Amino acid sequence: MKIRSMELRNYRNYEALSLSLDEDINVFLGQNAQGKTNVLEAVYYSALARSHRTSVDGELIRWEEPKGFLSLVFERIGVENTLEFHFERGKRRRIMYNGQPIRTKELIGAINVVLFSPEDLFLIKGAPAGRRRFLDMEISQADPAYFHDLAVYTRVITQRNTLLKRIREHQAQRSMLDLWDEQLAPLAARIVKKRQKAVGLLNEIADRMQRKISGEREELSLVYELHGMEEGTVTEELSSWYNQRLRESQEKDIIRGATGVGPHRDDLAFFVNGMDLRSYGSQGQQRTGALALKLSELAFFKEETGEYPVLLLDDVMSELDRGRREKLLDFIREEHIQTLITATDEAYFPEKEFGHIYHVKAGTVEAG
Amino acid sequence: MQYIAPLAKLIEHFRALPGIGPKSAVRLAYHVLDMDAEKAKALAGAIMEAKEKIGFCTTCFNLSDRNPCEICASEKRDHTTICVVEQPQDVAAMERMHDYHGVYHVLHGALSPLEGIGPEKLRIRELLVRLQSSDVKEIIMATNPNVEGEATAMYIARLLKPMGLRVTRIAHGLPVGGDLEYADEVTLAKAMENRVEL
Ligand SMILES: [Zn+2]
Repeated sequence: MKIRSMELRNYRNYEALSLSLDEDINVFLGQNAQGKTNVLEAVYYSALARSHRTSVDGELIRWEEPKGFLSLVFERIGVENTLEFHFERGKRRRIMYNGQPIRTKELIGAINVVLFSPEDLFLIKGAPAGRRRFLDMEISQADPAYFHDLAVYTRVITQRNTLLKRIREHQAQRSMLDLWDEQLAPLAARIVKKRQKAVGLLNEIADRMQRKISGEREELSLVYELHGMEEGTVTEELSSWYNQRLRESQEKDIIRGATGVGPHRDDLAFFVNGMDLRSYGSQGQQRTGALALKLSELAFFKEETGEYPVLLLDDVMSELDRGRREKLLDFIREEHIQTLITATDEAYFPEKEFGHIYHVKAGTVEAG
Repeated sequence: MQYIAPLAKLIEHFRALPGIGPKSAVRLAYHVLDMDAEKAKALAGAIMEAKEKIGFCTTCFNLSDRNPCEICASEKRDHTTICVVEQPQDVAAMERMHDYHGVYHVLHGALSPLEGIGPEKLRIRELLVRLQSSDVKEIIMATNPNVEGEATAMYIARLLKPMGLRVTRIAHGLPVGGDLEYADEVTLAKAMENRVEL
């Protein structure tokens, strides 16, 4: 898919911006706080109906303005579509798809993006929550039902955890737990099955990418770690396995006031030549792994949706060494992936290699 | 800006209502001030009358201006089937369908540890008492299809099953009259999950 153009009005620090995008690489150059990331954020927002920088829509509206507007024209399997977001302080945002109002859940999947920011370089050595979020975002974009299951699952977990604390304080009966456990088990099973399937697919692609980046020296494998199932495999139906586990852990869960088993405790493991990258990988290896994972994410979308998503590289170029940077750019060029890059330093982007450079300064964008 | 005291008070009362934001509260208050004295009196009277005359039916706990309510008192209704709902509004919705001839039981909420709502805060004990003194055969659980509604339905089903009652749950799935191709994935997945034998 390709984004043809975008328009921002009273969005972040832009009073009015109309931008036609190149279908290959677009580089936004500028000092910090001039608004280059705002352009990427707008694309990200259009795909996921939320920002990667704020959870408050009001922050997207330009300072002291009552309303803000964001629209994109994009092409998907050869068909042009428009997407509009209308923001108004104190009101819910409105989303229009080809002129028709739609709900958030109908939007998910319309535009696919992959964001690569410096935090992603810490994906492998960081906390498990980051790796779960990575999987969830990826599957959600390709599968709206997964997005819904996750939301329901989170709601049940919150209810169950509150109930656990109330039981601990003798304000509720322990038998009430069953009501939530029985809802939790099938949801957990559905979520985990989809994650396992995605990891299976990613695993194959990531290995190809790692070999390519490392010059065939390293092989990478991804393993979904099911919490509570450290050895062997689950032989029975996953849903009944969860039911059993939840029942067994009730005692401990009441003491902790939190649910100890379920996909919210699982992790994604990375092995390079058989070594656990999370604990034993060098910084360089972890970065290669993170890059391989990002590239796999692109390929994953291509397999799931038939088209490459739009790639957003937010201030990440300066964090990669020359070798990895070139591998990344080679891949983007070979596969014709539409990419939006932000950077402060022009040195990484020789004019003749990057035809479309925009200079961003205080809420204005000029084609270079 | 500072509002004169009676106006400020009116605005505050409107603000306390569900779904009314600060701006709407001000608009409503000014609208009331613009009304003829007669109309304003009628509005105040209607609020008072509703408050005084409407109470709960002590059988089904629906809102009613008499006790027992019209539905509970009707001989045309099937008193062996009780449809259990969360709110009085749900009874109104079911009645608009004109196709259900049983009676109701309004729980006034759903189980939600987050909001501190346990079984003792719902009209569940009253339902059990009611069942002891009647020949009810079927209980239809029509709580909302969200996690709280499901938990509530499950809880009540477990209490009633040992009493030899038939407990059913309303199905949720595709809207009738809609095309399959326009259904969203979530609804479609739910409909598949709740498919029935033909
Ligand atoms: Zn009644």
